[in-house]
Amino acid sequence: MCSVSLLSMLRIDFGQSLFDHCGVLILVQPVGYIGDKPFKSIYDEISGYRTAQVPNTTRRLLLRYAKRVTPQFLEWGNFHLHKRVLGLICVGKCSEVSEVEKLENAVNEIKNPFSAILFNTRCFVFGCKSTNDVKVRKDFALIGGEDPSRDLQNNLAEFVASLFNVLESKRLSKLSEKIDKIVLIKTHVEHESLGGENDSRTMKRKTVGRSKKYTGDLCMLAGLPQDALSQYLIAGEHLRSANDVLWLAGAFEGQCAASLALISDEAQKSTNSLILPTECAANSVYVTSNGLGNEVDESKFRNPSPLSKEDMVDRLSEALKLYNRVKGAAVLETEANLKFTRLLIRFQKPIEASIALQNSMSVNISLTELEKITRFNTAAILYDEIGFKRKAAFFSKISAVQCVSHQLQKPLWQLSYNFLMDALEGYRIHQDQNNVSKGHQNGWPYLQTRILNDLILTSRYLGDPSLYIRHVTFLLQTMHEHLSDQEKRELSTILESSFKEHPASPREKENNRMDKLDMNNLSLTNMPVVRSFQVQPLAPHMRPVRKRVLTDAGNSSGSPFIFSTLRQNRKEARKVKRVKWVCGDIGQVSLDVFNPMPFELKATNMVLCVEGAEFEPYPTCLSLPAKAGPHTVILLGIPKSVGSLRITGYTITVFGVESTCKLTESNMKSKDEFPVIVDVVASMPVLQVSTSLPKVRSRPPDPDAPQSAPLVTAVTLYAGQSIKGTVKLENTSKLPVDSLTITIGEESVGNSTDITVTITGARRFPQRLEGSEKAKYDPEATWGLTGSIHFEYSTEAFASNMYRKVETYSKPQRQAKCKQYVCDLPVCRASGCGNVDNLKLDAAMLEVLFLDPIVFEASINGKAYDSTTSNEVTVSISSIVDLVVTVFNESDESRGPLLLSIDPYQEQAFGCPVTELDGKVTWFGTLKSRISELSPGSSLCHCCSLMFLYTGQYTISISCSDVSAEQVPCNDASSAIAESSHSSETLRRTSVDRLINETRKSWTFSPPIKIHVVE
Amino acid sequence: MLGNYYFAIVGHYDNPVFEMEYNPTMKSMDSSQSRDQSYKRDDHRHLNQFIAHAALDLVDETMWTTTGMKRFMMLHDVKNEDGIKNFFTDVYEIYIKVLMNPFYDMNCKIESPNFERKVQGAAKKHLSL
Repeated sequence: MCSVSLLSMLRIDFGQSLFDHCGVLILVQPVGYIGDKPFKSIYDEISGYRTAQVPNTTRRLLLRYAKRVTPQFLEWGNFHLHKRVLGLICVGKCSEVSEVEKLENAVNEIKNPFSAILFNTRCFVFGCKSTNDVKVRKDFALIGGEDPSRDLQNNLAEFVASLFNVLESKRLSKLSEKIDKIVLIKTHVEHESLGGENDSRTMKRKTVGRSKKYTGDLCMLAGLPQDALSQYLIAGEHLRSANDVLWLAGAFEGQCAASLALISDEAQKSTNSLILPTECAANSVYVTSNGLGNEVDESKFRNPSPLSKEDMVDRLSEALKLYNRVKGAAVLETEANLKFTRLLIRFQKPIEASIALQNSMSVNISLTELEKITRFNTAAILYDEIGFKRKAAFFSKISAVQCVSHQLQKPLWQLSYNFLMDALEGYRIHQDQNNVSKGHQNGWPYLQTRILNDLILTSRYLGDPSLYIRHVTFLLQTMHEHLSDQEKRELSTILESSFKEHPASPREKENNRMDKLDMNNLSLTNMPVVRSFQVQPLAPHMRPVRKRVLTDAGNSSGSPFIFSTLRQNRKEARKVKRVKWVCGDIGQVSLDVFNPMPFELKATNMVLCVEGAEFEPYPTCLSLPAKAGPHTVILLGIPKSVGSLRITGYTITVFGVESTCKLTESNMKSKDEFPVIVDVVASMPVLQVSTSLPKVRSRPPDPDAPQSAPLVTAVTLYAGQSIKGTVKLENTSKLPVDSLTITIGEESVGNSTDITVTITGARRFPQRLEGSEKAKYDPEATWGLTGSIHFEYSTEAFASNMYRKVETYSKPQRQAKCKQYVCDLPVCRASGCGNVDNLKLDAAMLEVLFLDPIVFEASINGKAYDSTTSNEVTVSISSIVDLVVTVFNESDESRGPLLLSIDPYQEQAFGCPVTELDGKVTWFGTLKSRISELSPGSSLCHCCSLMFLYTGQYTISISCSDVSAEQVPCNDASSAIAESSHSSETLRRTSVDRLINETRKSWTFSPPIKIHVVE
Repeated sequence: MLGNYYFAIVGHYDNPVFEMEYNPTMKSMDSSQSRDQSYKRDDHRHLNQFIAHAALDLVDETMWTTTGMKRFMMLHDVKNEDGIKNFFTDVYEIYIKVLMNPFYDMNCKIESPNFERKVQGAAKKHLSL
């Protein structure tokens, strides 16, 4: 709680307590040219001495200090001696001793208003040393030795001793006063009322009683509460019988104050105590009081025991009633009420205290504006002491309003601001939002909004735009739920305009910020709202993988297997799986942001906050449209050191207000991941793999994160087809790669290695099952296969057995159309080898599959005719066409006898051959040639010439047939008939054999030679 | 004798659970008018809230509260102790019924027109003298 730190004694001393009854009031004033700061520090030092010990006694003086005393304050100085200024200390500064004299006038000026009541004056001059040459006046003390604080202490002690001496002499003289010479002490309100002194007896009692009260005051100040109590009690008796209401109340107050001083040990607690010089102790003699009249038996008040707590309360409330009856004693009543309140707080009676406080507020008294502020503020402080936080807040708010009332010439904005800040607690507005328990409404939203709006208004007048912005942001954040869209929009326009005017201001004056609102504690979790927080693992090819430790296997086999029903908690098991990041590689965190505000939210500098390992975050800027979301945001950063990295939250700057938001479970995508810890492993080399093979982006392993899809090499192959490509490995990092599980030797930094890879498409033919003639085999169906090449590499300079894995995928799609061992598909420009492992072939099928044993070569007119490339040969009519046919035996057994026949024919429409070419073509040599035997590898050449007599298309077919079995057909037929008695099975097999034989015995030059005869 | 009453049920965390203003003249106006009027007296109204809030300290110290630290606060400018006492007893009964509703969350604002009507009825019965 802050209070009005003016330390001035106003007409009403709102800070009064019963202890002040024994306080010697000393006014401390600056004199001459001394800055505010030096004066304040000197004042603080002086006011540190709250008590003064009289040597050789148990007496102790209580010292009170004031910086300013208004003349009105002294009005009641006759009534309560402690409200009188007894001493004056002037504080001045001089560099030369000679200058000291100049201060005299100024000192006198200060002294004058109080000259009638002051016991003593002293001027402390700092800054120069006393010399023998210049005589300084007695009431000037030069403080400039080596140890100024000791100097000050000594001088202060001397000064207080002088005050004490005056007090003591006054007390003694008062005690020994003759009864006839006592004069009636009057207060300023009593001048007129005491006109008729008709009753001398009452008058005498009144005079004596008041004098006793005065003596009691003196005793109190002189540190003799016991004596004071007895004086007050006597005074009480006298005044009661004289019906002197005002002074009786004063005597009651005195009794309570003296009793309190006796029973409490408040004075002893004070640490900084002055020790008065011993000389003054000589004066402190106990003098027994004189007898004043015999109406009151004073003997019974000799050594009174202090009042009990209950009596104190009773006496004080009685005093209050009495004050209430006296006209013009409102000041005393107010003060007494406050004293009563403090007493009740001390006695721990909150309800009674609050009632007393309330009474003090309802005293009918006209107050100045400053007094009003002080009164409300005092009430706030006292309510706070009682423990009534809400009441305290209420009065803080009222005093804040008072500070800026129109009656004041100059509104006290700063003070108002401070009061409002004090009020926050009572309205349950917590500056540190992190500690606020969530899930229920806290406090009275309407009132909270009101207070925060007042704060915004006040901070606006304070002239610090950053403070202002902070308060607006605070209101938006904390009262978000209770503000209407209209209010929010208004606030946002304020924010935007002031942010445009002072874009840099919120952050600049970090040190000399005047507010207590610490924005470090304010989390702007609503601007924007963050959900689905998730740490992204590294891309698959960048992910570190733990090496399998060989001893692992040894361990498991070494320990006996023990069955246990206690299984590892599934949740725990899941927790172990943490994302791994690599030192020096960018780590990513993805989150969804929502903007619940009805205005565009501009957030700059959103970065991750981490603990543990070093981390270099990259700031991100956001601009979110009103009431929109979710927007996925990715926060990046590079871990810089190895260890576990704990992501605690994020920092965001909204409208120039920087705030740190801690992550909570509600922010997370999956609650199991909270708290967010990432393992950072040491830097790893990066191997770049490039291939000459075509690349395709494959389906991502995680469908939610399309960016994780690796680029893959995809090849489409026919079964049996091969493709060759190079895989290039390049070390793009600064670390050496020491091991690579595909053995290609050591890689040195920055080097690259080429590996040639051959990918061959393979296809298994379905196995023909026994008895199922129709195997389901659709050669047109395509099928896929994913193969992969793994590169596992690591660097030696790194202990934790991690390696990276690069996988090269290939996913061939095959259209197998292979019926041959070697396939060649010229249309697709593809070739390859088929796998026929599972294909069971008998001799006949093999015969079909095998390459032709007889190969032809033909040349026309000396030019070699290639059956695959040459289309047709054009010749002119009636010219001789030389045909040379060479027959090779490419098989590994000899063939023969063979019949080579050359048949020219013409193709009609529908592809029907017309072989009867009478007169159309003539030839030289033979068209049929018999070869007795053709041994493996050998060849036979046959020449003939043809002449075409008509124009047109001719085709020459060249064929070679095995004539060794030529005689057989008839035999065969007869044998077939002969063996008709055989089982049908045998018959079928024979016929099949024959079929095979027939097909096998003839080979043709394909495609046949085409000749175009022109004119 | 016509008085102005401000009634509030305050929850455990000093949060208002229910608020109602009542003055006997209100019944003569239809609802739109009364809303209009209350809007005009907004300043006065927020003062009521401030006072009720500040009074909670003393209430906590001395008065009886319901079991969930719910406090019935009545700000009034005319003396009507018996009426207010009876009103409180009636409202307590109605409030207990709200509490028994399994869908009602403790410390939440009561937004039941039925409850409001019943409290209005109780106010009419006991507070308009």
